[in-house]
Amino acid sequence: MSPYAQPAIYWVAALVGLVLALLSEGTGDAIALALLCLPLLVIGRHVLRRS
Amino acid sequence: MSPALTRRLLAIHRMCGLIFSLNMLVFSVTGILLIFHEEIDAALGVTPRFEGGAQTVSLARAIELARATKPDGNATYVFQDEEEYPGSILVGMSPAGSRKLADSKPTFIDATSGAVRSDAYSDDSFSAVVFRLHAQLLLGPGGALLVGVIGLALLVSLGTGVVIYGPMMKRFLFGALRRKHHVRALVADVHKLLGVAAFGWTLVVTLTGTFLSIGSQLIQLYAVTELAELAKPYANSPIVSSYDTLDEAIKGAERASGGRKWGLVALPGSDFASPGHYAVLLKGHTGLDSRMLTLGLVDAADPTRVDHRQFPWYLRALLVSEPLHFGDYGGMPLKIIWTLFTLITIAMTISGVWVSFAAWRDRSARRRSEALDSGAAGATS
Repeated sequence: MSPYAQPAIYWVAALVGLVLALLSEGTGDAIALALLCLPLLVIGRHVLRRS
Repeated sequence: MSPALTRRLLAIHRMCGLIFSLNMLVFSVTGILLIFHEEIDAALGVTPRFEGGAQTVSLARAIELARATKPDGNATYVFQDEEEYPGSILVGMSPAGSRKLADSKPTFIDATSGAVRSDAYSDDSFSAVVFRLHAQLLLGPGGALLVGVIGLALLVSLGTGVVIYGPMMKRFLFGALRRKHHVRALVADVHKLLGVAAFGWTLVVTLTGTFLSIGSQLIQLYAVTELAELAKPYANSPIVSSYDTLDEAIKGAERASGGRKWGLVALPGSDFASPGHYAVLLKGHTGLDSRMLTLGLVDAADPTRVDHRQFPWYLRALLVSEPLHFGDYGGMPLKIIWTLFTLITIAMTISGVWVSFAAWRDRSARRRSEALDSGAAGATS
């Protein structure tokens, strides 16, 4: 598997989240924020993992 | 990709990153402060809070009141934003001899009582200084262009970082952190993980920041080309100085725009209007539309004559860049996400600098030890 396969998911999530938050309102915002949070959660999961 | 090319790109990545790491840290720390500038200003009492109530002061009257406080100055714009400055009308006053919006400072007028707070705005307020540090490195308008150049270098650093990530991570799983290895390997892994996972956000924020650095030039370009062309027939007319028709002109511009709401009016004679026109900036009500301003050019003598138009593509791109850079369009949750990403950027910068210096230190130590070994070998032979 390409080393870019997984990061690309987080890039797309961040970009879609940013644009969706700009375009949308109400429930759209929640989806946008969730997408934006995805790279943060991934970083948190890997950094905080014990081994 | 050949190892030689990877090494060359790594050298570019390190060089751009190292040279501008201090700038990146300044942008990041000031960026976090700017995310919360409304809260900071409110806590420091920078923005006057009026009691609120029904607006009884007309905009024309508000300008009169502001002009009375600075008889030598020129009124250049009127601004109202119920969310940011509730109960206030802001009148931009430029110093004598200038009619530029950029030179103007706002005078706060209570929309209910007409009370004036000419002392409310300060160039030396904490947020204003932080903003100038972030956008101009405290070097004035020229500093914004320097920020743009730094932005380009940071884009090169980001781009090369992503390109070399692939060859470097071929043998590793995504997010693998070599905790049992040398501390340099662990910090390098953390740097790569932070950089690659947050790349989407950092790319957008760096791109928009670089574009915003030439914002003043783009606005000036519009003023001297398209806007100057529109104002040509009025170029030699005397500057309108009575604003009795202003409230009517705004209503006319809002009608012509299909129900958009006014946000700012550049007054006749200012560098964003003709001597005989009000330039009314109109915004939509929701989402992206509330960011995409349009222009209503209204004849000050006959406010029924309205020319409503879109801004050119480069100004629309500028308007979209601002929220995407500052993250100020989604309330507190988005501000927190922006802060977390910025903290990650800070960690990425520090870890990158540390890894570069550690690599340099290790290389030097190895060279010294090799030199000693060869010296010892020479002595024994």
